[in-house]
Amino acid sequence: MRDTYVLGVAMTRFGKLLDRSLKDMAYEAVWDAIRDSNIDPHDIGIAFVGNAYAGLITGQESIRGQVMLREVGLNRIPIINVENACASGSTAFYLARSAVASGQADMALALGAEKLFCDDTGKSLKALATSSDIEIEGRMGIVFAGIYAMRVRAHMARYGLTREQLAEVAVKNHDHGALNPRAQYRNRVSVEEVLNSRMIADPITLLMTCPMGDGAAAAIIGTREAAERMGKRPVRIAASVLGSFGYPDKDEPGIVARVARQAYEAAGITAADIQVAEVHDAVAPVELFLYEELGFCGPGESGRMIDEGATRLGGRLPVNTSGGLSSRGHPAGATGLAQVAEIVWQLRGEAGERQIRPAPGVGLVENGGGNVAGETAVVAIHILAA
Amino acid sequence: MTSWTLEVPGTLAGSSLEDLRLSGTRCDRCGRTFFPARRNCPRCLDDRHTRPVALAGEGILHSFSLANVAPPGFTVPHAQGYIDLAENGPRIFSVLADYGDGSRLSVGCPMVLKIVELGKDKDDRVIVGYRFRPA
Repeated sequence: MRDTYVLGVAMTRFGKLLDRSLKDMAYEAVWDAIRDSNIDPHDIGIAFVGNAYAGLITGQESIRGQVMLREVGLNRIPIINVENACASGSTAFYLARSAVASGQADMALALGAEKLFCDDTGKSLKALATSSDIEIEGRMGIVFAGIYAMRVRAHMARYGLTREQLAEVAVKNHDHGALNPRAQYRNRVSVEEVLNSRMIADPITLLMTCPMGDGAAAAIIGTREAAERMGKRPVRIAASVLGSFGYPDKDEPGIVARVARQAYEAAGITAADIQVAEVHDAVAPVELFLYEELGFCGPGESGRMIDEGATRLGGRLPVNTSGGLSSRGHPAGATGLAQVAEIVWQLRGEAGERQIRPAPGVGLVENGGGNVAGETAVVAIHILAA
Repeated sequence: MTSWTLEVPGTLAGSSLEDLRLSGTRCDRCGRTFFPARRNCPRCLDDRHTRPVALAGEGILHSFSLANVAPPGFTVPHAQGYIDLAENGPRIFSVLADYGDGSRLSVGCPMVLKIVELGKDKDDRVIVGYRFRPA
């Protein structure tokens, strides 16, 4: 297995983009990534296209990737459709990286695109509800907002986290999103506004949730030679790990901690080496739980981390400088690749007003999706090093 | 064929409608219990040491949420919870019932099983499901 590098990355603006199609957004993301990579697009040897819900929203099944890449212009190469709920984009990245590492291709495209908005909110909500086992949890009456609310409540009960601390994560992510021209929400919010916004599933209020969204993001992965030809700071993929739900005992690590451990081991580093992270804040407060699961702090210490501003821009470990899912938005299939893009931009010094100074050297992406047997169904973690 | 059918497969079992209990699967090789009932142990990847078991009908509320959004087929407010079943049972998901305005619910409060009847299916069998309510 050879080392692999992220070449170009790109993303469209995320938002409620009713006048943009999957094809149109894919065109923009892929061509921007190609231009960023400084390559001949004929050199792309394989493509993985992540999308979670188009079948239910637009009706396009079975060849979504081929249909999007038809618009883009790519053809003849192997095109694989990738579906892993909200981790579809990261799964496309994982597969693209594996293709290059194994020598199956010298250059691979990972594209993620999603349209969640349509003229019928009920349709969008029904699509999202298919990310649990429709025969079991679906019939049991699972609702995702409630799942996250329960995780946050259990965390609060165990460690004494306050509602203000939950709100502070949303405030931080909106502050970051305000600096991100591609974010869905660019408004700042206050702790009071977050706490006083409509209750969705106690303790999760509306301003703590991530929005539905439309958007696309892409990354091109290649060899070291291609990375050096690009003329930008090479970004090596130090680890790319994918894991699934696993029936943990009450005293065993959950899926995020387990996959993180594998990722740190694969990269030969520890959590202490991470200098910037994009994590899956499906609701902003779950970020606190993720700090602990990812080893950024010890159990129960995430409240202190957010209070101290440790994970803000300017803090010792900025998390979700893009604005996170909360503020940047969450077009399910695209999110994982938007997270990768933000880390690459930070490592390259291309993050504009969000830039961490000096530019970090090691970043982490954590992207999850679905729910099965009491846990998140799939978690992907990538570690990038410059 | 029983006179009842389950809202969710593998969740309840018994000799009569009045005698239904939560059903799970126990693996004697590793000692774990799974819910709903299943064909094998997913940790041991083995079906030679597994057997159906009746699970305790009470437990402690590990966490809960009252949501103002409900999935198709359910109404708002929609209360969900994870209950740690007694007798060293598994942690299971359940829709919650009979909780009033929610003030009776708290992390750690005792909960009991409630069997609910949800109409009839096309073969005129009663559809039964499980809920948990504050004790």
